[in-house]
Amino acid sequence: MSPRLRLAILMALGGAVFVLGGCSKQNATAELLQFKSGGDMSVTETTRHAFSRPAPNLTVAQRGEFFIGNAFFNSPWVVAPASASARDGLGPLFNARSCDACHNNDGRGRPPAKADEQPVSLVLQFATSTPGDNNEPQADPNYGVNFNPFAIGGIPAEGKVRITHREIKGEYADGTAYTLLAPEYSFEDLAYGELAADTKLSPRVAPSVFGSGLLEAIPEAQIMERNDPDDSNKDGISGRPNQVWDPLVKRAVLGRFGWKLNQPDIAHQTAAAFSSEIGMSTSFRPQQICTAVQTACAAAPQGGEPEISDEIFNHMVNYQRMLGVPMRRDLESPQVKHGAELFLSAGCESCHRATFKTGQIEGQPWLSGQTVHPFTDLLLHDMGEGLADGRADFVASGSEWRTQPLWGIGLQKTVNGHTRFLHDGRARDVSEAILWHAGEAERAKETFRQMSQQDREALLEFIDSL
Amino acid sequence: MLAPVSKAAVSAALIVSLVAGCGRSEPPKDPRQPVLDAYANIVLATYEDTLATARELDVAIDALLAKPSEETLNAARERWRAARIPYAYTEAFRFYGGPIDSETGPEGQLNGWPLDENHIDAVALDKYNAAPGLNIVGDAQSFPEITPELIAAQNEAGGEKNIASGYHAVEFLLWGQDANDPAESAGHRPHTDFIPHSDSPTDVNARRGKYLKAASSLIVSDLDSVAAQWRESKEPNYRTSFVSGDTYTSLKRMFTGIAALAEVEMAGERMNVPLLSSDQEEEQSCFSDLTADELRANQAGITNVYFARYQRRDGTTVSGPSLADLIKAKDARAAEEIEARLKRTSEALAAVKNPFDREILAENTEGRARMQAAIDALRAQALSFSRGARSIEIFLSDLEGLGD
Repeated sequence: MSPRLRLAILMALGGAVFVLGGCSKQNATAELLQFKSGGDMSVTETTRHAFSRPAPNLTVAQRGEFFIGNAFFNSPWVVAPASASARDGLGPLFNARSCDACHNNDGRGRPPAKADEQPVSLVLQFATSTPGDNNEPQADPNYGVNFNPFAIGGIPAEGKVRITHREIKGEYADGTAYTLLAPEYSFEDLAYGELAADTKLSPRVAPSVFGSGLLEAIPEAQIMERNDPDDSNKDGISGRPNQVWDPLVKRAVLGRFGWKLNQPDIAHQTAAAFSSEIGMSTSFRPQQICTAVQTACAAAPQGGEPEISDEIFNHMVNYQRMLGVPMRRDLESPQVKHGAELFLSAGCESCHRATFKTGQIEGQPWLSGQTVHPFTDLLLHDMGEGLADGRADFVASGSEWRTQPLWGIGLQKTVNGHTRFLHDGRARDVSEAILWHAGEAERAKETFRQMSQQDREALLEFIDSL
Repeated sequence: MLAPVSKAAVSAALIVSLVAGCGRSEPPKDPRQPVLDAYANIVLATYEDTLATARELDVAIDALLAKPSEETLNAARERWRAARIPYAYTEAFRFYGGPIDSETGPEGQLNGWPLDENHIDAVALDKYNAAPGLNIVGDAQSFPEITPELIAAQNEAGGEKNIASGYHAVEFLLWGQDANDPAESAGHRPHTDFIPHSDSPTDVNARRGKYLKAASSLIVSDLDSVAAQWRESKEPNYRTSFVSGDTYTSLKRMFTGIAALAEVEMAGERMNVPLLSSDQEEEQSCFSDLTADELRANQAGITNVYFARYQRRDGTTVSGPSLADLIKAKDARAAEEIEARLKRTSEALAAVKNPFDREILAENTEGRARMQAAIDALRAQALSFSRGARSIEIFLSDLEGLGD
């Protein structure tokens, strides 16, 4: 065989390998590059209303329902008694007057922009070190389940929270420096005495609400596919579900919502937020949240029993189930495609799972049988000490958090005007959020830190396409 | 859905390049351009009329405060009613992030609802009033000076909307709460609520008057800021970008405004929600009971946009090439359908009786049926707008593909 011929054969083989390699890579990343993140519920909107559109697969009648829920989601609840009696009963203690105040444009909240501003869409949850009945977190005896910096006229608000930041310097492997901000919280002007000595604090920003119907519709068995509490496959990732108490069925059920998967479904999540953050009672949570020492709160007029009728409440829950999910953008970009490969090879997808198929949901055909790409596994992971809040939440430990869905993340700046991420909004952009990953995500974070600037940018471009 | 768009884009690009090939120096004028000019003229004329009526309301409020009497109070109420009608026309210019409801637009400050009336003023502790004295009018210590700036700031107090300004704040101060006594009546605040007891800076009646005046001034300045964006201008403003920017985007905005007003705001928030709650005060103008007339004016605003024809309050008419003309030229059937549905909605809304708050009561089956007919007509109208838009290759994303 002449050397030239040998070269030709080698080249041909090399070409074949290259083609095959390209092929298998493409197959592996195909699920990461799907246009319709929400299946038939995907919407083309890319403006600040990108998270607020009704899914395009609703009927005219369902759209009518959507707009009813939408009206109540956006408009403020008012002090009782008021002329608009379907809408009164705000507080007496509260964090916000409307759902939209925190989930602005159905998107994500943020910590205060200025030092002297009280947080609205960042809620400081309280719990004592020992859980109560059914493993449920126990509220602070004086301040309840979370801090309420606002109150209606004549009732003292709970006080003020001051947030300061500790800077943490670091650098990428290529020498590029970065600074992370670790928030620290202190309270001033506390109106109802001291917090209990063993009360733990868990700061949590309001997550976006679009797509939650699809997450609710994922069959439990699919979520359990990646359940691996003892890391038996030795990939360093040991996701596990939360088991939360459902007072309606009186047993522990799979948690799907909340930063620690502490709520089983949209209805419970919505009722909890109404109760502790807006101060409105529902059939799910009929009690006012005033603690024993908050006497003026307990004596204030109520806006009905419950303050939000079941009918209005159901419309609001269905509204969240009907919100569309924004479609992907820039999927033809070579950088985005390269970013998808990096996302996979760095191990991000091990937790930020690309694909699920929803089950058949009775009475909600728009949610049924949809292939969706939320980029979460709906499991808990140990994220390390840096992110830990030390506050257990049912099964979740102080350092465990839910894998946050990434869909829509590239539009958050447009919709919400900020790029704050993680449970307390400490990360100022996506790269900071990645750099905070530790614990089970240490290896993926380290891979990112070791990447060339070009690769880091490609990975961020990919995330931006979500 | 995407295929036709890109096809259209490709053919548009082809046309442009062919025309360019002919060696013309000027790019050809888009035949749809005059429709944008006519729209901008109608928008401006409507805002100018709205502004004029708001100024008349402000003058009537001055007269009421100078000499509170049954007569001056009624005159101010009359001016409020007159001011609301052209404002309702302008709501057809919402929902696309224009000057009225861009992120910094004053819509929430002008037209916010439901009103947090107990945050503004409360006179007695009863069915309607919480903690008298702990509101802006009653609490001279916390709010020593009542100014438009204070009201604007309070409208956002508590980190969020706390509806304390705009037309409904003025409405509440002019009428008072609607105790439905007798059942058909609106609120009936006595004129004596505006007669100061003394010269004291803490006098509640004097402060109520100051609140009324401050809220009214804020309406005038907010409307003026919106109208300014639609006036012809050498400096770049919203109008210049609307008429000379991308024609597709501007046409889509025109359709989005009228379709969303019909389906989302009127059928959804203003009619279906009250019907659902059967709550008597679940109406936008719950103190004056003007809601049904406002809905009819909303529909008139939609019709003005579609046919590009607006009769001003001085009797003159502003008109020009319209969306109706564009659709008629492309798809006569779609145009006929829209016209028929506009007519059906106007008739259905005409049948809704005053006062609105009686129409929605659970026991009023006839009233509720009239409401439902109007809701159905509005939804069908929004859908036919989507079809008409498609005939001229404008795509209203999520209305696409819906059947009736």
